[in-house]
Amino acid sequence: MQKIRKILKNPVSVLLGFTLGGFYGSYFPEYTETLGAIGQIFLNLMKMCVVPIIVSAATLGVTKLLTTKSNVSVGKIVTVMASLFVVFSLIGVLVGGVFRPADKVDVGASPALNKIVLSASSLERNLDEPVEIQKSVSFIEFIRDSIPKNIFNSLSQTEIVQVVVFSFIFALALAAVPGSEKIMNFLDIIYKVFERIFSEIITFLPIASFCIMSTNITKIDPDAFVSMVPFVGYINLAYIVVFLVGVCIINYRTKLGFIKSITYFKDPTIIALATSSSLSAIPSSIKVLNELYKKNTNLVQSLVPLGIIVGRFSICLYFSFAAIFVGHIYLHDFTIMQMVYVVLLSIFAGISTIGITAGGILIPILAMVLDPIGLPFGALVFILIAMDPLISPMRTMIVAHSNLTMATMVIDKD
Amino acid sequence: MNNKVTGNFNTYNLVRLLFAVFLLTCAAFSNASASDVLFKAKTQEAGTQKIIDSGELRLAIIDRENPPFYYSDSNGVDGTSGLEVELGKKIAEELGVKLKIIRKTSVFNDLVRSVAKGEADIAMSKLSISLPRASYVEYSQPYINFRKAILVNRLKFAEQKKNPDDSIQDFFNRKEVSIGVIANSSYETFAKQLFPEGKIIGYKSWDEAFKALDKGEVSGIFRDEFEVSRTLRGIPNGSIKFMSVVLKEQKDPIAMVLPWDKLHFKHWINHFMNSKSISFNNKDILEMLEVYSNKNNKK
Repeated sequence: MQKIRKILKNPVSVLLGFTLGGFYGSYFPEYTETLGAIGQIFLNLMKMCVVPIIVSAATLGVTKLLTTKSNVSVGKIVTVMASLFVVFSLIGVLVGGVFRPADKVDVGASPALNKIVLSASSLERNLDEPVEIQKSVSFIEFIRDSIPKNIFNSLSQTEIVQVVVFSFIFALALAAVPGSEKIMNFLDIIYKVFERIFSEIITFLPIASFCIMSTNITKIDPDAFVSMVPFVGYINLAYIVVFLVGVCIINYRTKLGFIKSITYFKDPTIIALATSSSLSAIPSSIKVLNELYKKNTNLVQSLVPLGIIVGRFSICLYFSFAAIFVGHIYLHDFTIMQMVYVVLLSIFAGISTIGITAGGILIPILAMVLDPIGLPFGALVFILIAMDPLISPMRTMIVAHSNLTMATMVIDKD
Repeated sequence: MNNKVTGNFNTYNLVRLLFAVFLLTCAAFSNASASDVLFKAKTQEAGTQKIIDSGELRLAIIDRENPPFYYSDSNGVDGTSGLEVELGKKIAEELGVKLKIIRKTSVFNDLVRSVAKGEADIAMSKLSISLPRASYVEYSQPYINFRKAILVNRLKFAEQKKNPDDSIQDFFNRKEVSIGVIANSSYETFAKQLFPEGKIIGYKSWDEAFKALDKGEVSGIFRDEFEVSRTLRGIPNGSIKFMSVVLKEQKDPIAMVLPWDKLHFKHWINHFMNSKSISFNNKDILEMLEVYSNKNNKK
């Protein structure tokens, strides 16, 4: 039994499940319905633990930070975050600009892509009706929507931004109230209980990743995929580069050694990759960082939920890469100034996806980058959404990994 | 009694009676032939009988190619086939006459005038109902219900739009935004009505208008939804560069052109269309086009 557990816990078995799932789904798509349901059971079990863990960990972390004298530099956190945003966005522009994947994509050659785009290009509108229906959220609207009006509603609907805001407000008040230890102990036990449940669930990650991948792969038209290989390939390449750079930074900051810098953080990284859910990576991110920074667990517990939710670095990279791709599809030559715009706008667009996890809602926000430059997006958005099952695993993995990297940059070694 | 009648009877009354009898007799003899003549004359004037008597229905079609509406085909009627020839066949069959196709002109206004001049009984060539033409011909009820549509250059739209939620009217009803139409077509008139502030550019043909759109000389080209969707489908990568926007409330009914002086014929045609439920939309026509293309590809 112990042996089986050990095999299942090995990240290689997760990757194996992931790959085999991909093959299984491509060759036997008709048998994936049950597998999809099994994968969903697993995802639901994980999500069940996420909200209680975020609330208890964030509240505990912030309260302890405020009550004990610890040297946290908010300025340092902000500086590290800002520079990560710029670097990621820049890498997207560079990879897109140097390798020019758009030149190798021929949308017209693929009947499947043509079909996707044709239906997206045949609109019916009244004379005075907006041609492109866009949902953009202004900054003030975002702030308004971040404040929970009913915390139980936010918890039950997994309004994750509202949950975090509530936890921080609650923690601020808790730190100011004398005799808050009882609540703190209570939250500590809540955290440990759900942490325990979570670590049991992720034992079955190889099986789950097989199920999830086999169903996700059936959503992709192979013919459409073939013509979009350059896009999918280069963005995943960019993510691998970013991953390796992250490993180097972790190695530099923690002195763990290069290989250990990868294996030490394998759990959160693999979970994010296998489930395409960044929130599901929060519990194990907290766990591994707590082990690494035993004296700084307060900071870890407050930083990780915030980092994964706000630190949308890998989304910025996606936006800047995709913006360059769309531009090249339209044979647009970017000036240096426009590239700078793409970098900055991608950061804004990335930040405005806070709280959004589904690819179908996330990708249309790319319009925030393209609109000011005067590039159209209406047709390609549907192709990018169709390709997303092949990109979102890596994108989510980098959300988790970049925040682990950020944590090692912000927190000093014990 | 007898006495009384005889007593009242006088010469004046006798004359009156005789005159009445004479009139009645005249009426009785003349009635059948006179009303028949009157009826015949009226329907001849109204058209239908004249066509029946002549033994042929003269259908004028423009001397161009536009499948699936009309196209040259050695197996067709007088070398022509298509949806409109089929409609002509049905009408001729119902009237019990032969169908004759006349294809003499490639100018739409000349085609319509040939009906006004009595050189043809009916004209069909995917003709929109337009007010100027309605002043010298009659239109039947529509047999195809198209809507107006614009093929928009996506790049120009992204460049020139003022707000993210610009409507078609917001976008094209501006001096700096140009829209292409076929010169002197009904769409030139429509464009002037819908976008009075916009810059409307007339092109010799739809192909030339499309070339201008492709080069970005105009931001959109304006025609019916069928031509727009056919153009969009016809170009590889088309949907990346262009989008078709069908204007939901802007109808473009396609009707038969009939002579102004044959009102009865017009009513007859309308009854005919109602009883046979003749009415098509863009989807039907696109399906016909696909059938036509598949058949031609096989050949």
